Amino acid sequence: MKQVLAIAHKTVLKALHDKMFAGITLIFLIILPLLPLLLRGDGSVIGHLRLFISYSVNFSIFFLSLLAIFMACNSLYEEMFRKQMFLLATKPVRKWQIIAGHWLGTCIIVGTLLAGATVINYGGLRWIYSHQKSVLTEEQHTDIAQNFFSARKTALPDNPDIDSMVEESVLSFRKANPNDKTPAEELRETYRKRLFYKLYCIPVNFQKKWTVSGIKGVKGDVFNFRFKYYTSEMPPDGKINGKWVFGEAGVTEEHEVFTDKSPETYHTLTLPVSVISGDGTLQVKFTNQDNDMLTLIMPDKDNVEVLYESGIFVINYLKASLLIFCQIAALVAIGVLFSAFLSFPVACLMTLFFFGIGTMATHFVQMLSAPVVEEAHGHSHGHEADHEAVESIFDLVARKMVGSMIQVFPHFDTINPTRFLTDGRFIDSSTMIWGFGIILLLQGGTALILGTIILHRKELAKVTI
Amino acid sequence: MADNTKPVVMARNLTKVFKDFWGRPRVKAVDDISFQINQGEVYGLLGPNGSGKSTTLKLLLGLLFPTKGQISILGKPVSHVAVKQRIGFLPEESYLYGYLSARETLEFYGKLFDLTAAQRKQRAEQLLDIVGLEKVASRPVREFSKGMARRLGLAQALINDPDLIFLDEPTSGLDPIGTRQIKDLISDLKQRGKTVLLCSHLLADVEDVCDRISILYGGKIKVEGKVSDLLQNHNTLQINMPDLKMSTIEKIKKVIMETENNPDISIEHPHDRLETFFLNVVEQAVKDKDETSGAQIHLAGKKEPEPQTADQNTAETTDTDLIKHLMDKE
Repeated sequence: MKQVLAIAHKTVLKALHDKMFAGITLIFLIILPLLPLLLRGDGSVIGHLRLFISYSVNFSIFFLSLLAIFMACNSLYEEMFRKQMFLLATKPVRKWQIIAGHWLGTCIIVGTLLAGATVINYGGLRWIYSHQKSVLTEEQHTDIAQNFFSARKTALPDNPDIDSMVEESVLSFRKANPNDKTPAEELRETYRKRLFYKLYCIPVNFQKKWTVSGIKGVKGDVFNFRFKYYTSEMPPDGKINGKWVFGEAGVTEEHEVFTDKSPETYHTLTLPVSVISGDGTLQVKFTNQDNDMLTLIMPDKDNVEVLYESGIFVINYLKASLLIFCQIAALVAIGVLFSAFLSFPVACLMTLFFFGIGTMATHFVQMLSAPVVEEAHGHSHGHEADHEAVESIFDLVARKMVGSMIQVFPHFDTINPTRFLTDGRFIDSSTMIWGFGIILLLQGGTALILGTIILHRKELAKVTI
Repeated sequence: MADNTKPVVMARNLTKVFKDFWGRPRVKAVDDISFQINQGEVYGLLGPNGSGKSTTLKLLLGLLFPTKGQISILGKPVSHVAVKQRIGFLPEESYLYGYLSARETLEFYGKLFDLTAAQRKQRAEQLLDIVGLEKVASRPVREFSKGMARRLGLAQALINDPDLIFLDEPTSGLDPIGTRQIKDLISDLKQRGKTVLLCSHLLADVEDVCDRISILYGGKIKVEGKVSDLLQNHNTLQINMPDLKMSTIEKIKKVIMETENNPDISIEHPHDRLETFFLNVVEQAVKDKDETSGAQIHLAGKKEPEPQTADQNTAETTDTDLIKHLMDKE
């Protein structure tokens, strides 16, 4: 361990003596405190806070990730390029200790900067709030406390398994009509549309119910209900009238709320916790009372959720910093891996590629797993049809291959803490486990092990003629 | 005492072929060489540029992998960490970290050998003193001249009191005083039973300190043997004695001419070597206390006396004494 620490210490000293590093760090430390002044948001204090946290956290992630990549790729490569590795490799140091030392040293440097950025960003948040505190109404104070300076857990409604329901319907249809020749996919599509209409469309004076379970450990007397709905056309006044009933008579208190909210925007209602049953279940009913007779569409996914206070903002904020550190440490590991066998610019490029893919990995996976729309189905004949079939197979194989490859990349976007912090959402243990366990330990650790193997097999004084 | 028959380095049928980008063999840098270095020996690898001596050294250090053949260092494979614990290496160029000071450099390498803080501090100070860098110990290495960097390179090679020391061009970049010091140091190490592998093309250096040498050419060992045996010229005779009168010299000449019938006789005063002459001049300058901003000079193993302080046990020690002291602390 002494060897690892010695190499890490040397790596830190190298960075501290590097004028370029000093310059870049200085720029970072100048820009960061200026962000609260430069960003304004939508004019509201909560909007300002949200914009600031979003920009400052993303700026810190982006800047520190780039710095980490640069340092990680340079650290080991320079040691080999300047042949200092000749001395290091002839000392009683194992290859894993060299790799680990460089990783640790770079992590210490970038981690220290991240700690500084965490403090500066938190100071920025507090400055924005205290600077405009005097002009806020009591309601705005509460809004900020509940929706920003909070750590709220999420509970989603129990979603019906539409795919199973579709399959059941198709089977029932087949049993009832054994001679029918309608293709299965066509039947599925028909039933899917029917179910969608039945489950998610709310005509005027119709009611939709949700059951949200698993609401445990609520802190405080109130919680939030967040929703968004759509209409086929925009109402003339831009609003939809509706009646919400929270709770279940005889089990909990019932709480009625009448709303006239615009479609396609998230709205939040603040409700008493007394409407939640003892086992953590909330019953919700919504009746469409729109004056313009418009039908509402409310798919469950991402459109209805319960948010309840479950932690402290500061702890949540520190967790966010830990998640950022996990990402940076994994990037450093990847940088060290590439610099074990590539030149500095190529190693940088490769690590940047991982960073880029990782930042949008979930988006890519969704894009590749989306079904292909086959509009010209059944209209092709002979060779043309064969050609299309071959294309389709290639397309499928290519999509599967690329999709599988992207799964190997660290999914940095899944641990980006901005989406938690802007809405005051609790960073749950599954996200922390993903960040620390999967991205840092598994993927970062694998990169370090591969780097060790490569360095072990590498001829340090190799000459290629 | 050194056991001169115990092999410390063994190379058997060592071959190294360098390949091109496509993996095609291009250059045979080392071609089936075998040699053995025994404990307590100072062994010299000689050869012109490109003869394969540096490649051989890198193979022995594990920086290159042999294409064919076997290497054993201190009875173990070269990659073994236990081997590295007992070796010291001074590369052709010092390859030090420019941003570290001399003291930090030795501290860093000391940590790699798992030395305690006290041991590191003590050894660093003693080695800095031996190589004459104690006055510039806090200066960053990037400000050092090449000679000073070589001295520090040597100090790092000795930080672990190695049993086997690899020195690649140890005197390159050093002034004659530094060269003399390195040679004295090598002799001291030999006296202490250490084994030294010296790789150089400065023949005078090798001649002065090596017990055995091998001369490489084209990746092959052309000659190997004891320096004294190899350099002995059996066709010429040299008689050393105090100065004689001119008449006595003429008589001797006459006797030789009459008995041997060979006119190829010359009798003259021997020349000093330039190195000895130079060292005498500098020694005088040191005695005269002339100022210098370079490395501190301890001529002929002697250190210039410094004012004594209360905790100084010895104000004047030889390099040998210092090394012994350093090693005895182990």
